[in-house]
Amino acid sequence: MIREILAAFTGLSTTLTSMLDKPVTIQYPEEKRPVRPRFRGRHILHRYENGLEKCIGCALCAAACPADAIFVEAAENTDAERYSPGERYASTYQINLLRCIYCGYCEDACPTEAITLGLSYEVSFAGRDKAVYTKDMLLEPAGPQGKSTPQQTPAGVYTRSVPVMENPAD
Amino acid sequence: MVTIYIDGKPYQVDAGQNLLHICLSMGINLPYFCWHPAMGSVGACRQCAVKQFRDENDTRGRLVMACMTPAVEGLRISVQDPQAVEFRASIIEWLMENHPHDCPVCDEGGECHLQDMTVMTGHTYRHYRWKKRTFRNQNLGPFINHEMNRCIQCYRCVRFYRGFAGGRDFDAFSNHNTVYFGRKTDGVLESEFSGNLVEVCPTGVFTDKTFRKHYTRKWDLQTAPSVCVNCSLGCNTTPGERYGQLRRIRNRYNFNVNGYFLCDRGRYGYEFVNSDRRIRQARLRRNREAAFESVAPDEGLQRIKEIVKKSGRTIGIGSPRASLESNFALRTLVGPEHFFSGATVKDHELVTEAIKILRDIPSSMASLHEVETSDAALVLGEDVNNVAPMAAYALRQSVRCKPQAISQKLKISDWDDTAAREAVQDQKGPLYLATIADTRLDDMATRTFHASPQEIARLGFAVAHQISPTAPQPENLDSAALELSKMIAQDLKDAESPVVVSGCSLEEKSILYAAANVVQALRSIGKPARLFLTLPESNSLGLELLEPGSLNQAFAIAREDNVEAAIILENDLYRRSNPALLEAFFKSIPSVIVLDSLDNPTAQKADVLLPAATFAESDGTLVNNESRAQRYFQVFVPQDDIKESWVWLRAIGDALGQEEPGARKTFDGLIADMVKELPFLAPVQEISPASGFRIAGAKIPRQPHRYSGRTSMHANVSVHEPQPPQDPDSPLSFSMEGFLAEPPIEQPPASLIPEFWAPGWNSIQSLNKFQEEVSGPLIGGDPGKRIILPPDPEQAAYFDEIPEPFASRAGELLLAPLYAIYGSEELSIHTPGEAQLTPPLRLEINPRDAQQFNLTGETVLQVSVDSQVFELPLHISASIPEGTAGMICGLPEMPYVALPAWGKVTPKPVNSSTENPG
Amino acid sequence: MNKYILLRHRDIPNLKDLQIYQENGGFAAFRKIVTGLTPDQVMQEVKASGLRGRGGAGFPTGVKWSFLPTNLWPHYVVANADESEPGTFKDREILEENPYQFLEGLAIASYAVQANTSYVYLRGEFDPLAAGLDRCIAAMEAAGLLGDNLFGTSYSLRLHTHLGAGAYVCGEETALLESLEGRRGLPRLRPPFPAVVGLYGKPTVINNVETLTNLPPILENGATWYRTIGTEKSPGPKVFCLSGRVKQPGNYEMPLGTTFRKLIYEYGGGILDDRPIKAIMPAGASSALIPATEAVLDTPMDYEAVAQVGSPLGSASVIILDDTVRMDWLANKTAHFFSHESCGKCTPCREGTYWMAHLTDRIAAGKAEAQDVELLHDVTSQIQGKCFCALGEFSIMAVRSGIELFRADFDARAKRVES
Repeated sequence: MIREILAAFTGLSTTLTSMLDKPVTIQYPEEKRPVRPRFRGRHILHRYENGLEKCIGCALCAAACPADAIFVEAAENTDAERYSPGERYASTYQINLLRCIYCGYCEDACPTEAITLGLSYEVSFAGRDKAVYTKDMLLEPAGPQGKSTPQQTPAGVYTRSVPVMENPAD
Repeated sequence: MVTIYIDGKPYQVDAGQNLLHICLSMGINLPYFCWHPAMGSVGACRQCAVKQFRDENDTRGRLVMACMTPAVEGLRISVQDPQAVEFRASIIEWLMENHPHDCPVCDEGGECHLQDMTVMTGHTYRHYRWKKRTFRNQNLGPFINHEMNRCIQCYRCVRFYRGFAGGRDFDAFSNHNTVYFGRKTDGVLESEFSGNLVEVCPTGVFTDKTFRKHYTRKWDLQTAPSVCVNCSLGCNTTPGERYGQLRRIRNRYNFNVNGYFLCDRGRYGYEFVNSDRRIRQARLRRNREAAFESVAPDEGLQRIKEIVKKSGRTIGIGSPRASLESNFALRTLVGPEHFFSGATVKDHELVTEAIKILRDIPSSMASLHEVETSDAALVLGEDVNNVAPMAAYALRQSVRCKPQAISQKLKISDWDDTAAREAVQDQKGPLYLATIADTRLDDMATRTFHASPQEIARLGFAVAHQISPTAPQPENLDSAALELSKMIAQDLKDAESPVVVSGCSLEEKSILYAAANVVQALRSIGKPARLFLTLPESNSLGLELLEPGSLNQAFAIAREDNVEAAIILENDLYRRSNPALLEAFFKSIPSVIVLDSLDNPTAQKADVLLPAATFAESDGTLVNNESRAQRYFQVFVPQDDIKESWVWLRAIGDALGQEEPGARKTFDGLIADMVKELPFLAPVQEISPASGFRIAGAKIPRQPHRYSGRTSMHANVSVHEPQPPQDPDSPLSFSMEGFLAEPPIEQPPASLIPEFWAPGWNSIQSLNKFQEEVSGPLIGGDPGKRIILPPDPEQAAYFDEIPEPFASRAGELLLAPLYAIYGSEELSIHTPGEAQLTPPLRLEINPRDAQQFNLTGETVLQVSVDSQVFELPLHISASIPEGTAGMICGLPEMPYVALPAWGKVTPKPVNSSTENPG
Repeated sequence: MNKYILLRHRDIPNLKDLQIYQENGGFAAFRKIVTGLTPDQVMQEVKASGLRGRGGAGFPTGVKWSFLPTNLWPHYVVANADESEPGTFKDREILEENPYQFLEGLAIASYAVQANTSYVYLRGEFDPLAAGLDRCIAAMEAAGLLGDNLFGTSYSLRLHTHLGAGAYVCGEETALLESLEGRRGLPRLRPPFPAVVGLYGKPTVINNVETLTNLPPILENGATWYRTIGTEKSPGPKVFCLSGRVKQPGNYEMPLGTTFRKLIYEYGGGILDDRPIKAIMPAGASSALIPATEAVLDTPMDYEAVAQVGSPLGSASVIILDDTVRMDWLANKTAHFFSHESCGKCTPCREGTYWMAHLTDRIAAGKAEAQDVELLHDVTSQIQGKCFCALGEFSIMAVRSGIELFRADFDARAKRVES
């Protein structure tokens, strides 16, 4: 008899102990679960410290995209209206997030580290047409040291899309 | 033929041909840089190294450069030999010492021969660790962007520019690893073939500056086979489109026509397609004073129906720049007796005469390639550099043919470019230029002859008479011309395959006759002479083959016959006729219907204006100067209400109930109707497969398989990926899906190749995979077919309409037409760069005449001609013959005047206004 | 009996005066052949003498002349006075002090191939020498030694000097021709050889200054006399340019076949500070290094024997290196020279020499690692035998032989890799 009662408690012990455990569910959206640093979420287009965009409109991300989800149109920079260092910038940059498979090939293809897959996983839309992220939605705001684009820049400074390579010291 | 062994496998090859040429022709991939199929070998880059063995027992072998080694019987080489493979990789490593890794921002990226060759050799790891050398770039004008840091010193550019295109303002400078290719100082490249540097350069040193303004990756361009519309030669092109905008034009190889090259007018003259002046909607107006209002296409058609229905008679005016199909559709709509040529009255006569000559005399017309390989040439009247630039390129190459005998005697192969040139030195084959004034081909000429159009014709007649005494002889020829005619006759008689180049640009019928007589005379003594006539516009011949009436007849009918409406097809009549005549014409016609792509003075006269498609937005056939019918295909679907002219005309026909339902609904049906009515046009049906053609059940895609952004580029229209536009008119599709060519195993017929691409060959050099043999015809035959075939070789009668000698008139000058490569042509001038290079308005006068008329330096002249008065600045030019004056025709600010014509020239009175006409 | 045959000015003062030259038998040979011998006889005489080209390749001169086709005219003779090899200074002395003997030789060669116009191509830095030669040519014309119908025969000859723009590569005969024709001095591919397609596309003989200077004595004294000097396969006298770490550097005229030992220790007075000799470069900067063993020192200097010990004799510009010379330093010097003088036509030379210069800089500066020496050796082996012209081949000689024979010098400079 006692053995049977004990047996019932033994069976319940797991239940009873887990009553005291911290719950694994969280109160989303008030609370948000952290993700791993290399999580591949929604894309971000980055800027340099001075606020110039890193994207140079080369369209290699679009070429690498297996879902054909990226569309880039390039235009020419001028010193009076400069968006990025070098010759060209992306005048149109769109990602169709319904098509995106978050493979990260765009990151790999990018020669200036302009596009990264961020940590944001809240990718939901009220309509299909809202799923197409345009450049202004993807581009991060200029930092405290930087101005937004387009900027007026001195002539002959931002001539290169990629940094100058120096002779090695040794 | 000899047998050689490549990696142990026997091949039958041409004796003496270089091994690189052979390997590529046999489909063996071998990397190269300095060799170019059209320019031969120089052995500078050392990239094509292969191992050569003495005999089958030799295992060591030695490295040789394939491009410099001729094939001999029993030759044994290895392409796969490890030492050769390693050496080829190390050449790339050396080239990469200084080549910047800027492919992501380089315009050449994705169609770069250096990229392809780097991948082909397998070089991956960089051992060199120092800073790369850098150069200062130059501003080379509106067409070419210069980025010297990318240079790999293959010397192709300077060889092409100086050695083949004849430019003088571009060279190689400095030595060791700082060799620099450019001009002495910044400035516009002078050669009209400078655009070819973009394709000749194996990497991104020279890139297309107009393309740069709206840059798109090569793999993102939608392309289709096309034909250049900027002159009568019909060079084959590959236009590329992205996002509704025509982005650029590249060369499309055609062995018989343009080969590997294009002129700058053709390459860069595409911007009118993107012009702000495009007519994009149908427009109507209530009366001539009212403003235009844009309407829906149906409303426009409805209005036309009302107009045409009530009218007794409608006339149609065709166009030498519209396709054969559109002109035919108009001809059918209004009836052949009411169909008129839209060309100038003189051009109409001249081209009709040219057709007669081609049909009557037993000589086939020379193709551009045949001009290039002829060993003696006589040019009668044409300033080819400005009228048909690629013909000038061909003539430039032709002078090298005869001296080839020297290098061949020394056993130097033709492909051994530097040695052959060295042996030949400055010797040139005979090239005689009889023109009004200096041309940019003069440096190649044996002799030049500057005279009035009549005298040029008389010289031609004299040459014919010297060759064959039965040909009529001009009387009272002056002794200098007589001597020259003897000299020319002798050189033409001595040649193997002489060619006579002439045409319509001097608007002088007797020059055509003279040219025909020379060819006939040569044929009568057994020389296979050929005739090459340049014509005014891209479809001049096609239009006149439909046998339209002349423009003056149209005006007369409009005046006399109570015509209610006129349909004007893709034509700015203000470039074709005297403005006063036109005003009267438009006044006499109650309703004017205009179909055109660009707004112009004629469109301003329309009551109904329909937006017509340009060459890039339509399918059609153009007949070039040698009567070669060539098909061009729609590159992209135009936005707004733009439609092909023949589609509009068909819709009008339908609206009128003229047509049986279903007839001529398709492009194929239209061509079938045309051939039924005009059976001699049968070749038009054969130049390309009909729209039902499929390979393995699939259409041929216009978009490359790497085309990007498909699922997002139309997201602003609809997030549901729209169905690609359908193309009922051709076997090409507007999508990425379809038959993927894998040359040389399987590729579309030559007329349907949207873009030359083969696995591992992303640059234009992929051509070698599409040719039967390197620099030979395309596999399956080059596109295009001649409509006029040479008749049986029997002697036709000589022409004997020899003009009277030129006699100058007191107080008057004979105004002769001069041409400018940029400016004289109607459409290319809409490219800003070409507009920038347009010469200013001026009247060119011989210094002695200027003295006689008391004209000096900066004077502005008043020129009265054909009841019009112009004010033109004076330009004294020693090469203009006395008694004549040269006037650049076709410039946008000049009203039309029929030239040559006698004009009164006086200095402008001081107090009159200084503005130019127009 | 005078001691000198080529450097006769050392025996006879003021030989650069036409009158003095003629008083000492000058132009007798030229007059003799023009009036008395057929061109073919001259060619046969020179062939019989066994004279070999002194410019470096050592090709028999008479045979070279006989390659000119007789159905293509005109013929040209070009004297190669583009003496640019580091360590070579023999032609300069001849041109400065004994110009008439050289010009007579040029005239003889021109007669032998029936050229009516001949050129002297001088390096750009020889500007004053060109002016001197121009004066000599004017004096010869005034004396009736040049011009139309010479000595009453139908033979005519004109000579011209032409200055280059200072490029080493123009010493290469085809680049020289390009430069002479007014273009950039880039080498041409052979075949066709200049003997068939040369200057202005015509058959052309190109001879070194010293080669031509040998001709008057040969024609004057005969081939048999000439054969008594030097060795059987390499007959005749030769001017040796001795430089480097020796006490008395300079030009020494000796019969071919004299030993290195005699040149260095007898004429050159031995090594500076009497240090031990380490290596010899027998053909200037473009020669491979020969370790100076006793056997090497006793090697006779003729074209065959020197080649057997590791380097062609070339222009006989003997550079002596003693034990104070580091071979990595030497490699660095030659690499810089050749990278600067590359014409920029073919890839291995243009880019390879540049890379060698960088690598040897790094090694000489003591910053290199052991694998850099390996890499340097790899680079040289990829250049070897694959260049367009000989300059590319020469560029690696010192570097490659330096690494192979004196590896210790290189390794000593390489950084120790900490383990």
